[in-house]
Amino acid sequence: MEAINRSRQIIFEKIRRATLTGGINDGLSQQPLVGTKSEANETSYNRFTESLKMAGAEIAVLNICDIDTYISEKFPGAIDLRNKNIWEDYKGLQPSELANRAECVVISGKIGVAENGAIWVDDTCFPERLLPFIAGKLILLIGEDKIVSDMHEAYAAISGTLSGYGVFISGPSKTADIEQSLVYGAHGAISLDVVIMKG
Amino acid sequence: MTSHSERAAAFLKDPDRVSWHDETLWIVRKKRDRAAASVKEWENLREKASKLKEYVLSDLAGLLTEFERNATLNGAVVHWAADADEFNRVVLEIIKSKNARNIVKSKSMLTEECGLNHFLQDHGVDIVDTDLGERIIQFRNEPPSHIVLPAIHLKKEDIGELFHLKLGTDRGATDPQYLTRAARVHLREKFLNAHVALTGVNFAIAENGTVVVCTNEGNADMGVHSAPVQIHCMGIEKIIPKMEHLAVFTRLLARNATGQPVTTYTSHYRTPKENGELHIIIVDNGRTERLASIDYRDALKCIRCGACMNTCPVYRRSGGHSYGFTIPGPIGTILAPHSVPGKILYKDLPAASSLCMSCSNVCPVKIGIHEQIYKLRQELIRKGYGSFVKRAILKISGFVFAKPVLYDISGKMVRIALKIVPRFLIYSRVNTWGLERELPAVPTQSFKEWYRQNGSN
Repeated sequence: MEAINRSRQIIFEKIRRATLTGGINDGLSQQPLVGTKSEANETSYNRFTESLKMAGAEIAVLNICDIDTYISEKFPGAIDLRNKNIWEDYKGLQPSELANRAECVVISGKIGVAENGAIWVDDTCFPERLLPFIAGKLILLIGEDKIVSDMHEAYAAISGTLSGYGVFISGPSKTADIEQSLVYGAHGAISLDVVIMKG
Repeated sequence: MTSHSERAAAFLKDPDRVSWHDETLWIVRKKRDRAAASVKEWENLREKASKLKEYVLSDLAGLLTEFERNATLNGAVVHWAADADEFNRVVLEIIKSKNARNIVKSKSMLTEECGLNHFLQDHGVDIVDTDLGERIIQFRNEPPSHIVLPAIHLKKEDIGELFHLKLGTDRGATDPQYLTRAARVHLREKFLNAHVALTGVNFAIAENGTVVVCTNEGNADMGVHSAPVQIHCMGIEKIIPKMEHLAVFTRLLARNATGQPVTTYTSHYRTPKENGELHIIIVDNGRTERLASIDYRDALKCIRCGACMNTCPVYRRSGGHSYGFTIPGPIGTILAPHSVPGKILYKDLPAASSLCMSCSNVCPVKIGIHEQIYKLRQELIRKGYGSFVKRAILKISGFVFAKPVLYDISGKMVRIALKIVPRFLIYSRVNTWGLERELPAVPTQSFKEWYRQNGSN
């Protein structure tokens, strides 16, 4: 521990020296403000669905009242994590148990990003962080009114409310490490279905 | 040790493979161009990213202190490592303290830089690379040949053969989907039984002590959420001030790397999982020396997108392994020579460039890569590292070019000489330029002579 603290000291001392001798402007008066907005002619809704399709996701647009039927018919046996009453059943399970039980998982997303199709989910959306990744089939729900234009808007919405863990998911897991051939289902979900909720 | 040109010559022995490599990376470059062009404010984003990184370098101590404070408040344990050896020992200590046996790792160029895998193996710890490309090259006991596409030097036949031996896939099977599925099954077993998961870090946020990791495969998350202990390793330069700045970098990174609008997973790790441990190791390993160098400091802005490799005419035709350094391509060329403080290494790399500036033009954080390569060349010659032939030629040329009469006479002599001297003398071993190329046809007169005759009209 002492050795590590000594390294910390050495690193900070070297940074200080570099800042003096390297002619770095130590006191840039202010951090460069972001203030960037993306420009696009299309509506956010259209860009969102286009981006998701490009990323290999299936899309369904439904009225809220039709969603339960849709899920139970298309994904029988899916674990629907919108129902927090079942969360206790999964908390603290070993990864191998989760792998056996969670073939298909439904999660309610918090923000959709039009420019890239990414959907934000965090610790408040699932009982175990492994669930969105261990599932072979992942279904993400997102309210039409939760779609923002770009990552600037998305992070503006997240930064104050970041929980212990959060992730943007855009599409099924993928790899192109063998001759640049695109294959879905590298380690995470093999398929991603996104349900956009209207009304 | 062999030089870049010798290793490149070995790669060039298989022309079909070289053409494939060249064309494939050029396709990635074109995808990047399309993705960039689809964002109207692209140049504005690059400018912002560059300025942000410059700000970070100007206030590293402040940002790292803020990050450490917030990460500690989040329940993370922050470690500091002055060099590669200390970094490796910190990782080993954490592993040993947990009696951990199964270690999984998602992509981290820092662990490659520090030689972590070999260090752990020497200490009896088995570590499994989980990125598909990384796993492939780990099986082959090779370093990555590209920082984003680690196995781009291999063909599917190579990988089919390898997986047949290592994973028992069918002999002769080369279908990428089939091979990827086999790797998925093999690595799932590793994830589910992992005791410790290691990842690299794309960005670390000072204002809330969060580390951000971008992957397409989901391997960082599979490991981190399966294993009770997670370790994130980062260089001191990975820090950014605020969450909102992530927007700039996440918009640039994947578009510039592979042409995707964003990576499939952009994961934000703030607190440890329940009953879990979260360690963050912050590493210097020569970065502060670079920070003190006005000439070469800018390389610390790099966000490791790999675009400079995809666009580089030399990289595409010589392959990543020809560089012999952890990070190949143009960015590797400017990182390698001063990678160990107090020494000058990889002196052959600055010559492995055509100075076409394409690397600088695609760089998302506007590093003047070609300018640094040029500076390195000058430094090497100044310090006497140029080859004898090159130094002699430069000296003679300087002498001749400074004297117009002498220049005219030598021009005339060369024009005559090239016509009468036998070929084997002109294309002798001294003329390495002529190994693969023909000199242009010899003109009958110099431009000066021609202008005297025709210029007045």
